[in-house]
Amino acid sequence: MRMTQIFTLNQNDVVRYLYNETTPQENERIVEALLFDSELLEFYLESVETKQGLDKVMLTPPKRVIDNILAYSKKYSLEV
Amino acid sequence: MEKVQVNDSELVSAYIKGDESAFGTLVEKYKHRIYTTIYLVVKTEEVAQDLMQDTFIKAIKTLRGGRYNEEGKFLPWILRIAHNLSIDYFRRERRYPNVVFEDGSRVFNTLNFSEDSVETLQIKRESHEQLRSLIKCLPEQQKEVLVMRHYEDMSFQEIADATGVSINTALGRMRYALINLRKMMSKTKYAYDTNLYIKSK
Repeated sequence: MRMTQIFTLNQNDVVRYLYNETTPQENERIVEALLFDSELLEFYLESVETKQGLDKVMLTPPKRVIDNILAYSKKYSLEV
Repeated sequence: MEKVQVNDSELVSAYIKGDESAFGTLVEKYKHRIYTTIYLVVKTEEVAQDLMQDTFIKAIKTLRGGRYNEEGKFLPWILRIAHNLSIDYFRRERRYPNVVFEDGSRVFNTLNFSEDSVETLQIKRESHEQLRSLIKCLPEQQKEVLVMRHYEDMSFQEIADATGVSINTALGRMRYALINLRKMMSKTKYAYDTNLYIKSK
């Protein structure tokens, strides 16, 4: 049970590391842990890949929507 | 000719002073991010388009009304507006649920593709559609944290505060979201090619 808790905490740290929310000191500890813990390293590498995939899911609104927004802005500036 | 890089704060200031082109630059820069965030919450293209416009209307009124807080950053600020409007819509829909058909096939037709072959376009479209579908399959709480962290750029502490949970719970939900996405990706043999995506500027 205790082992699971420690493991879970480490994975959460890796998630923070993945999203650049760790301090330089924590970074050193995490990098060191990744060198010695193959499961943690696997989790990290897979998460990096998943994150890269998420970066690619970007939708583009139709041009009409953007045109409406820009037109509204121009109209609003004339009104105020 | 070398392009001069102008930061968001300068663009916002220029817009407040009346420079419409500065606003156009901001819209162009962040349209994908904001639209994707909204779409992943509301799940329908039509509603996402409406809320995208509502988000910017609110932003325009605040900026031009002199109520914008200079200390904040533009992207997190406007993403917060988009998120709040999406959540409001989501809550309203829950109260008055409609039947929504989720074929979603038209959504990715609007993706920005450059000069690619028909085959490359098809691969891109299928890969993006698959991953988008997988995100939608995540349990609601995991999807919420994923969208807030990845697309809205909120910190885990901010997510914890906004959703009323501890930071460890927020982190745990994100961790499971990543693990579950990974599992689903391997089951569906999802694979993406990092060279395929053309990031809009």
